[in-house]
Amino acid sequence: MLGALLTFGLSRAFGDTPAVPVSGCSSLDLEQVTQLHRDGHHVDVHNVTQTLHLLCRGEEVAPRFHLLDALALIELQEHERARIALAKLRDGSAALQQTANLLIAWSFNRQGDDQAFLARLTTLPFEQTTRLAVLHALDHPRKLKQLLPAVQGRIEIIETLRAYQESTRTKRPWLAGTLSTLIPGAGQAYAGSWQGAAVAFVLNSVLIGATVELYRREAYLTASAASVAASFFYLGNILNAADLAHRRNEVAGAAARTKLEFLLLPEAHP
Amino acid sequence: MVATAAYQGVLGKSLSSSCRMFPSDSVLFDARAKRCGAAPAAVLGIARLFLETAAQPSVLPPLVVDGQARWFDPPGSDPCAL
Repeated sequence: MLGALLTFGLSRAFGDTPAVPVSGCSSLDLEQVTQLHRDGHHVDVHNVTQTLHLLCRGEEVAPRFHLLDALALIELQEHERARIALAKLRDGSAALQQTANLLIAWSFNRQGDDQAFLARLTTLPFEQTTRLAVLHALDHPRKLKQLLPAVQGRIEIIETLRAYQESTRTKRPWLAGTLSTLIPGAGQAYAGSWQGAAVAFVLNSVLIGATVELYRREAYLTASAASVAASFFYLGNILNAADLAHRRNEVAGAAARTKLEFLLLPEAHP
Repeated sequence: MVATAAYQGVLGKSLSSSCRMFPSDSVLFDARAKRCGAAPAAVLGIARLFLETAAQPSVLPPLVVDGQARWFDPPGSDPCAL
């Protein structure tokens, strides 16, 4: 199908008669593009759907292509463009409109825009609101605890939630930050990065040592400049330690999180 | 801003250094300096330099940009946070 599309596109671009005529744009092979989405080839999905729009100008493109394009754009973190693609689905059937509204809210959640997400959440049906609220609360244990009764009957979701919580608690960001406050690099070592620990320890030691030595030699101006640099590196070292621990947890919980998204938001995983 | 422009235009090119992060440290520093001020951007920039030394697949996703392997670390919704 893609070969035919490209041949047609090239011939149209150069003004030739199309070698492979495309008729009935709405009947193009949706399954092939869906498979690209499942395989994680999001750039390809977006390119194919854009090509379809170019080739099928004036003809109707199946709404599912808009949906796949929007999902690809969400994965590519192009949230605003994804929402534009989803807005096109609002002219479709009632079910399609509901899916579009749900995914628009989800894209705000993925983007980290809590305010817009919560505003959208209030416009959704209760069942959808619950599912999205659980996804949103994944990193907020207290909120999640309040929402658990809503998914109590679904054992697979509960078990995956437990697995997610366990895997994301392997490293404590506050502890990493505290360790690096006491000894630069200690938090990085706790977070599992010996290389990062060595670099943070050496750089901070050199800068703090240089500052002390310059003060001893009464080179106050240079010492002040060195102390400013040392402070920046010291703070950077603390932030980095906490950030590293947080990232470790995120990566450790990624598989369970993906599974939860599959279970709670099947609309985003056709 | 002037310092990063000088680094990107002269020093980075003459040393033929290429940042292993995507977006690069200097590009992100510039964006943060505009939004959050120079001092917070400097601290965040240093934290990112440390992150670069600790980068591995268990921390950051790898990405190929212009034929070169980079670590993908896009800015979050709040550019003044890590």
